[in-house]
Amino acid sequence: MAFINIKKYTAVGAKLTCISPFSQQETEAVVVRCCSKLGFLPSVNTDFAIVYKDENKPMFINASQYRYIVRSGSKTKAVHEVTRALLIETLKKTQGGREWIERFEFQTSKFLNKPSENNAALA
Amino acid sequence: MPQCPRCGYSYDGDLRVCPKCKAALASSDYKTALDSLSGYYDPATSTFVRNESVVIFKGETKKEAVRRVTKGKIRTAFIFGLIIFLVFGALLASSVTRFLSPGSAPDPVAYTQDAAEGTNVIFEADSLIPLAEAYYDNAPNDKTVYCFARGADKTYALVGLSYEQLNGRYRRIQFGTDGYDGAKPLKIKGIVTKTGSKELSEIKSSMEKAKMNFEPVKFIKADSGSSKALTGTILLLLSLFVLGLGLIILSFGFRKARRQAKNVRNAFRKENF
Repeated sequence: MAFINIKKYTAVGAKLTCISPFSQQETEAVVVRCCSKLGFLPSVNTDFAIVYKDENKPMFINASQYRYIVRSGSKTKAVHEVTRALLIETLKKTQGGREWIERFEFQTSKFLNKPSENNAALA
Repeated sequence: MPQCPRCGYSYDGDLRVCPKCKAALASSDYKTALDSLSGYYDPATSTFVRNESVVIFKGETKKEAVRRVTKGKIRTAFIFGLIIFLVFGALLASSVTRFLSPGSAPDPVAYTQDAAEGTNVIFEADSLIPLAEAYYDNAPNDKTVYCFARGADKTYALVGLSYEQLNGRYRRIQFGTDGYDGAKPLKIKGIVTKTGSKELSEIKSSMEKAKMNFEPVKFIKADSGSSKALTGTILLLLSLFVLGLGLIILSFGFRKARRQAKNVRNAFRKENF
């Protein structure tokens, strides 16, 4: 899949730079809304996701998280918050999960507190 | 030696599922958990597809894991199903009420020349003559067509019928001759109505074409007769549509929950989590 070349049945939203929860590296990401149509029926399945460019993977979020990102002033901050919440919920009780979450939080705070270059991202 | 967190069974080796109580002996690792959050893009359907990985926690049995994974979806499906059934029930009840309602009008009586205005009457006509053939032919569907109706006892009445009520009951004839072509007398149900200025002007223009001078005081305005049945049928069809659509959407929700439950069971069976 070419990154952000998703045309049918999706609405491509905010494009931003953030820390990927999969690789813990700085990468480009885009927030998408993807609707799956089933034959003649209208879209009965609407999925929301943050797609990370480095691994070309989506991370699925729910509708309220998507709305939170869309309505927030700083999309980068909102994406990080949503990602962190999801990671805590899913990885908290898994093997190596806590360490992964701590690493992600460290990388995120380093990225968000980076001076001047990231001021535009925080705006 | 490690022990099962649930039943205390001691085991050695790399077991994932307790042979005694069937609980998970270790949680999934973080990579499986990250996998369960992500997926891939399917260009064939232009959608994102979730990965089928499941996360199992230490000490959890298969049943508890299935319940954890499907609880939210089943609850949503039940609430949605309840709403759909309530809407369906309301539509069905209103449809049945509409069909069974006796109507507000009293039973019709046989028409007589001195029937009072507002009386529900029934008139058995063995012939119907439209006032002007040209007028009848060109009448739009929602227009009232005025006809002389002759009863079996040779009484006459002026009747206002809709085009649909006339349709099929006439053969094309010349003005002034019998137009009704039925084997049995035509029963016209309606209300005795005072001829208003609008009706009068329409009747008069037809009369002028026939070179007649006639100003009726009253006429029988025929019932359409179909509105109650039509509304009831529409409501019934609407209720069935709502029910069908709701069942389809519910089945999709339950299908998703069943698929996730199957993934959990497979993970336990293959001890792959």
